[in-house]
Amino acid sequence: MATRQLGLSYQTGQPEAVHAGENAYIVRLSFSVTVSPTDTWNIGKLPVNAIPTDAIFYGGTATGQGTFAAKFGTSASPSAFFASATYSAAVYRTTKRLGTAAQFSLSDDKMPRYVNLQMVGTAGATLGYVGDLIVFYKMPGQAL
Amino acid sequence: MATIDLTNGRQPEAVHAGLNVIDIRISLSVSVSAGDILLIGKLPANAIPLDCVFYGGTAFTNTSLGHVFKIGTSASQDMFFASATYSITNSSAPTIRNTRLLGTSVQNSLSDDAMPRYDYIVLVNTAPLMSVGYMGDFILSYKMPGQKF
Repeated sequence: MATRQLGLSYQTGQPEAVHAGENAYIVRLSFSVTVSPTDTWNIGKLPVNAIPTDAIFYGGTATGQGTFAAKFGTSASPSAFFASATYSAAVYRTTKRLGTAAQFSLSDDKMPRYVNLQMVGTAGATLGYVGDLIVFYKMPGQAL
Repeated sequence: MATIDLTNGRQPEAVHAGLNVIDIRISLSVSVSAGDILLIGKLPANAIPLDCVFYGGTAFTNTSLGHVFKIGTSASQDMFFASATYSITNSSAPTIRNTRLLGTSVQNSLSDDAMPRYDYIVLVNTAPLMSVGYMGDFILSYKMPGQKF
């Protein structure tokens, strides 16, 4: 079990936080090292106070995709977007209750800047293109 | 078979922060033949399609025979919706959600202009059943390369 970072996706700057319209965070999950079960991957960052409105996972073609299981969420709620399951090359729409009830109120930085977007392996191992995770979110604006 | 341009020469939105959405109202005043290609919109070069949905309109629901078409880009005409019969008798119609694998793997890398500016979004009528009138709205959300991509 280890906590790891997904290359450029995690290390590149702060997440977008446009306060007009909607934001979308795309993570291309492509691994050049083996992902083991129980590994926790910091795969991206979402702004503090963001309100998640929807999430989609487009499954990829990685090795062991049929047996590798994972969940997707934040550091405070690792299955906030997708519960632990195996994901094949298909379209998965979130069935979680998002919206204001899931607004991000914590921070993984000393300043309240972002919360880590995480993938936690729960079974099997994989290598290659696991898929694209897309999280739609809105920053508090006119109404909220 | 004909190629019909409905885009009026406009350029697509390409805001590099936040999410872009194009809403294409498909309203036909002339009948469409099988094999006709309708250029219904433009997708900026390098855009990453994230999701799409088709809301059938009043002409769409005028018949129980169904409509047979596909929606995609000029380079991949069934990128968003495969050629199929979309009918009001279909339990999911007239709201049809994307079942294609979108995201970074289908990032728009081609251009239909001499400059790399846009690729056409096309609707191809694949059987002679398309009605005249308000067929529906095709809505596509996409992201331009920004902080990460």
